Amino acid sequence: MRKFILKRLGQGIIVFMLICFFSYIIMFLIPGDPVYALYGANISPEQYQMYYKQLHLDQPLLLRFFNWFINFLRGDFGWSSRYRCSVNELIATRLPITMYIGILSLILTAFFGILFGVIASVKRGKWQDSVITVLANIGSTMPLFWIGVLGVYVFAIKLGWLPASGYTSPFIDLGLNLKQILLPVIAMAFCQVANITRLTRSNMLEVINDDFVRTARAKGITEHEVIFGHVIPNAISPVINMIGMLFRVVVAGSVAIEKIFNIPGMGQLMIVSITSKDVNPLQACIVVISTVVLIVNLLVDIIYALIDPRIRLQ
Amino acid sequence: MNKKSRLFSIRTFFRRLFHRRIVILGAVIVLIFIIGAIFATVIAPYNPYKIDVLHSLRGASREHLFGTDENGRDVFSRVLFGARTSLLIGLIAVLFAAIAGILLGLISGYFGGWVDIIISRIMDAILAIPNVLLALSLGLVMGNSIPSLMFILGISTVPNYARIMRGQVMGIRNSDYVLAESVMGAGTFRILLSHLLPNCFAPMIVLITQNIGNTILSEATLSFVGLGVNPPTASWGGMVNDGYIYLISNPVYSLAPGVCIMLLVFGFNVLGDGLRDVLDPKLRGTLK
Repeated sequence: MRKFILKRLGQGIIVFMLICFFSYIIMFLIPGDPVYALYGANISPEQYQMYYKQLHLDQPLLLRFFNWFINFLRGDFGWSSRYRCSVNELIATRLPITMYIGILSLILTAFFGILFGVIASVKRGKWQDSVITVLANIGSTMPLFWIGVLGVYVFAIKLGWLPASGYTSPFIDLGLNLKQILLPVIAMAFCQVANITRLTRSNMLEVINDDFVRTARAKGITEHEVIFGHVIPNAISPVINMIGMLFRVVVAGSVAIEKIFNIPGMGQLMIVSITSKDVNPLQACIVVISTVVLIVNLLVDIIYALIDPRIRLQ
Repeated sequence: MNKKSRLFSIRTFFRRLFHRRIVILGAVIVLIFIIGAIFATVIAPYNPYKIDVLHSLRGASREHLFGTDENGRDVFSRVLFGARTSLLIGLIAVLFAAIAGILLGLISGYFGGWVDIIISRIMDAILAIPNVLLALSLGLVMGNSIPSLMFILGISTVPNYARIMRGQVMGIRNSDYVLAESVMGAGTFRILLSHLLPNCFAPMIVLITQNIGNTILSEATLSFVGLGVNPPTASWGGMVNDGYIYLISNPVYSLAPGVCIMLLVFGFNVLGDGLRDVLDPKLRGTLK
């Protein structure tokens, strides 16, 4: 087990370095001069020289990357020219908002996905199965942003039940906060539930015909105990793995969702820093988000191996 | 195989594929959109780029099936031309990703060792960066012309093919017939192309069909946040975004392109599932 964890950790660190390198070289691949891009075009030649030195552009690329990487590890993400404040500050205010909405929708997704998947597989071939399968097919084809738009049209414009956009901190006004995040959270969960449902259903069906399930039934225990005691524990581990993967999708979804509902999170920060060619926040976004995804996946892998001995013995 | 039996096997293929009625529905939807995209210039009642400010933001009517947008352009015509953008980008991006991923997977699965480690870690890195985020940052570097969008959208799905291909190759690399072939003196290249590649073909075809839908969704998302296809080129994601602020005056403007994305993605997904049932013998018969 320890060998397994060390191996996964080592892989994770290599991948982390690769991601850092990728986000670093973006700055030099963008058409145009990095000094002008960072500090604006109307600076004097003296200032240009100063910033040129300050960015260590006179040093070789790998050395610069190394220095930048050390700063990054210390938690210094640099300065945002668009927002005129340190990137650390931006990330510190925005990451919790995106995580808050993302994690809530992930919980909803996992709960309803597994629930529907189990129902569909237990009631295989009955009307419950058909209804869930059709809904899951529809759900996985709807673009997230369009569900958001549809939600705004129905619940904000036509019915007027919920606010169309905005974000208030839950510490200031919890009620308003919940009203505001309800649509984004549901919209995000809506697309993912379908994937979890489909996966749970097919895994359940695979296990339900296994020999050990037949043995369990032959022993004479109730169908209820067969499903909850034998089938679900064996069918659920790939689903846990999938939920780790979904975290990536949720983060990507925040780009569209935060635009529709005007939520000041990481997604909005990314769009603004791309449209204003503000490189430092963008680099920080890529590294921070990817690292969170990496850590979540690493944890999921370890949990997965702990629950399911078949994985760690491979 | 003689002509008659090949004909027979094609017929069985289609009979199995269209065994489930929903697959027929999917195929018909995809076909309708492809025809609509190819003959957009003939079918479209108006020029999708003709600005007519006097008739802007009209609701749906007999003259304008889906109403008009803020510039008075006919939304129905723009939806038709949007099908072109979506299909073109989706298909080419997926083909590019499939070719790149299949080659990488073949190489890393067959050679193993350091080659495998390097390729696998790069694939892991691509997978760890959320695909929209990767596409956004590559878009900043490469610009958002249609060819670079195809490349950008393709890149993020390369690991999907590479991983499955690698697993497949590793599974059959040590099988007897590959061993026999190499004992008989076949070169690496021959083994790779004439034995390993065809054996992994079925899961790849399935993956390609299923990925077309996802790629179309990603393109729409990028265009929606304003970092995809440049206006005035019609794209569904961009139209949902443009129409969003006019939901009150012409809701169809924003909602119709969304329905189109849904239908097209649904069509491709169902078709992909159908193909999986036919081509992947392990799963055949288990999903009804």
